[in-house]
Amino acid sequence: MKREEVVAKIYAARTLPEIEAAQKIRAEFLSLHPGDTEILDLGEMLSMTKEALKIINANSEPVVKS
Amino acid sequence: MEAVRRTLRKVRRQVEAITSAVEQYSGLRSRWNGQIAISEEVDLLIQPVFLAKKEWDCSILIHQYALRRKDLIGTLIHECMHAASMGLTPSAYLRFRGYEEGVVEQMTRLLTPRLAGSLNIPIQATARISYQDYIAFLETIRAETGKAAEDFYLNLLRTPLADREDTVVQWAIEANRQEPAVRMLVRIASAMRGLK
Repeated sequence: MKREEVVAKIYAARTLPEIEAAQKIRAEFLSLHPGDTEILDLGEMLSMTKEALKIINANSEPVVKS
Repeated sequence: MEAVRRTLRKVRRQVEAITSAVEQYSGLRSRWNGQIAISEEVDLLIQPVFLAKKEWDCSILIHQYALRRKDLIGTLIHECMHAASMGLTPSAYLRFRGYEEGVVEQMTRLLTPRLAGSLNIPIQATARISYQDYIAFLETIRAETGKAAEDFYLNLLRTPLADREDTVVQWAIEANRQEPAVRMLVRIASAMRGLK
């Protein structure tokens, strides 16, 4: 898969299956291109989205004072 | 083991200094809970799952892989920006992810040169390229608002995440009163879609 396709898949991932698929694609890309800063950084967004979905699905959103 | 503890102490000092600088710069209060942990989480292909992240309990998790990277400081600033970002909740993040990651990343780029001196880090070690898609969409919208970069992004960081979209639309309408709002909205519609 081309780099721009990997980036697009990551940005488009919204549901848990999509996120897990994007994480797999990211891992495959990084195994061939270790050290790709942008792809490495985008792991944060996938991880935060995944955890946010788990919280919402468990109906246990923390109260954040802002 | 002692080396890990030493590294953790050093990173903690850096995060404390960055948190203080972010609070001073933004006027916002960080929600970082004071906890830092080092992660070793890898996927099936032994790649780090992330470099760092602010957890939803407001602790900061840093991957051991990131500790060896010369751009660690930028990563830490990005996470400290999340900790200060107004109204960052799981539900708001899911709906307005680009308004969080794009704003936080651009604020990281704006603040890093100012912090570099006080943290004794070379500027060239902090060049960042991540979340460029979101920043490009935000820049399209910013052009319609006529606002300077720092004014635009800092005020968005101070705006609850769930209200940022409405806020930029309002700014753009106010800056383009000479034409029907719908015409201006057509110009930014694609960027707005890209940020969600």
